[in-house]
Amino acid sequence: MIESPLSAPIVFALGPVTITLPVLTTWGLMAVLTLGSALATRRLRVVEPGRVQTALELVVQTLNRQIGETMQADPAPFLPLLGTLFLYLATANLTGLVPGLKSPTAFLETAGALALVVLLATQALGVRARGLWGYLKGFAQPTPLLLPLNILAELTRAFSLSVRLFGNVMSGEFVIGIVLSLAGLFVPVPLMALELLLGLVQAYIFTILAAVFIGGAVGSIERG
Amino acid sequence: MDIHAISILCATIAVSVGAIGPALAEGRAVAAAMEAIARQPEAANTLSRTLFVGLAMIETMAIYCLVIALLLLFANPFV
Amino acid sequence: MRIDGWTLLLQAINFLVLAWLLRHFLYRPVLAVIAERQATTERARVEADAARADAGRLRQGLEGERAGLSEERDRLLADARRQADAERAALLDRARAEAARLLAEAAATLDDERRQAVSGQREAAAELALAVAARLLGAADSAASLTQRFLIEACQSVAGLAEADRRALVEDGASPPDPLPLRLLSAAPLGEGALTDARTRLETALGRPVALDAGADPDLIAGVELHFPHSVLRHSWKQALAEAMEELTRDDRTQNDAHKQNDAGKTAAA
Repeated sequence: MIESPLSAPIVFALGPVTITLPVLTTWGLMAVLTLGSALATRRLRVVEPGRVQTALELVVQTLNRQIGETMQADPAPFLPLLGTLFLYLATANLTGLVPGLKSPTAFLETAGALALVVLLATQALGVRARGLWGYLKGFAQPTPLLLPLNILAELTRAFSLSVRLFGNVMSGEFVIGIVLSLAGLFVPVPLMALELLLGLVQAYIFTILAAVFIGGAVGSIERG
Repeated sequence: MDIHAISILCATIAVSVGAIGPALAEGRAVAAAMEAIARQPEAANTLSRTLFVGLAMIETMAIYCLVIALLLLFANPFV
Repeated sequence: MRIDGWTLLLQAINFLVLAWLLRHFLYRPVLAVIAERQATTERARVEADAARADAGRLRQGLEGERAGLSEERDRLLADARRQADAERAALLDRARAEAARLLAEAAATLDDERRQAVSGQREAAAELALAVAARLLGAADSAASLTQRFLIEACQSVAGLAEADRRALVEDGASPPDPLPLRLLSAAPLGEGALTDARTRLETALGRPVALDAGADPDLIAGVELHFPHSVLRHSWKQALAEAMEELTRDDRTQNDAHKQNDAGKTAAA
């Protein structure tokens, strides 16, 4: 019987705090991303940018543009949250393709944590943009009868967001693991290529959906 | 049949049935996208991006079924 | 299946920390650089726009100048053409006037020459005719008898003059000498009888005695000349031929008037 894909293996415990594998992997990703950014942005030049700088600028510009197009608003205040969401998800989804490592997003805790962050950020940004009362009134639109349904939809959206991400990444890895254990060493390579694409698409979808939720909350686009 | 056998059977049914709908839906989506690209090749970029996102959304339905199946197999609350 | 609460919490915290870190290390510097480059590009674009606008203005000015030059050239050309036309017209006028003048002069000269030729020919013809007449008359042997008759006619014409005219012939303010000296020229020498007869006729006509001094002048052809102290009475063919000559050579235009005057003069002289 293969190992259950649903529970995170505990690496070690600091007193009552249990440090699981996805947390550890995330720390590693954080270190890589932060150090890489710090190193890449150490020598930025306005004229004749280097290859690395050009790539960085391309990434940041593309993120900026996509967020702006999706939210139909100035992306500057949302870039740290949504941009980081995409970068972290892309790297985390692709981590699963590295032998010996598992995607942090293949665990429900990580996906749930991200969905929770998006849910809370949506509420916070909505309140900040439209005021507490104005934001809360938005739940009673178009009629107060729909208030419970709106609140339920808010929670369901977050749940669906997290399960979609977790299900996709976990199933991909699970299928690869099964095929690997059943067929052999190089057979799951096409599946891994598909997983590469799916990981990036899932990161994109998660980010875009988060952008849509936040945009709906701050009022720049129609509430999704 | 004990609960294990029932769980395995239900997981299989969930995955197989859950794959039918998304498969049909994805086929239709791709067909529509192809038609649209053939009609407006200059909009191919936007169309294919939207197509991929849509496919991922549709696939999510199958994934939900898969999650249910895995829950039945590995995290069955009745076992 | 169990959800690990610690993992959930830690992952959420991890994500927020990562967001903060990336914002600090990635987005802010990269966005700053992009903004700076955009500002530079914008500056360059503005400068380029300004330069292009300058160039456009310059080109417009040049085009304006060129249009002005072309207009100026057109104007000058039109001026020159007009001037040339005027000069040509003036030249033509002058040439035409000159030609007309020359034509008129030539016509006048031609007229003069023709008139001169005509008059010269007429003179020559008259002289020839006179010479022929003189020779013919001179050759005639009836000159002597004719002279006699001419003398009588001259005396009769003196007698036929009015009293005042006759007095004017003889006197000139002062009282004339007595007897009155008279010189009588004749073509042929006159006989004594004829002279006496003539003195008698003159004394009768003048009413005073006369001293007649006779002379001969073959140039008279036929006839006499009576030389009074202050005037001469010519009654000879020479005189008649001279009058005919004068009459022949006189201009046609004045011929009639001259004729009348001549008649009067002849009458007076007679």
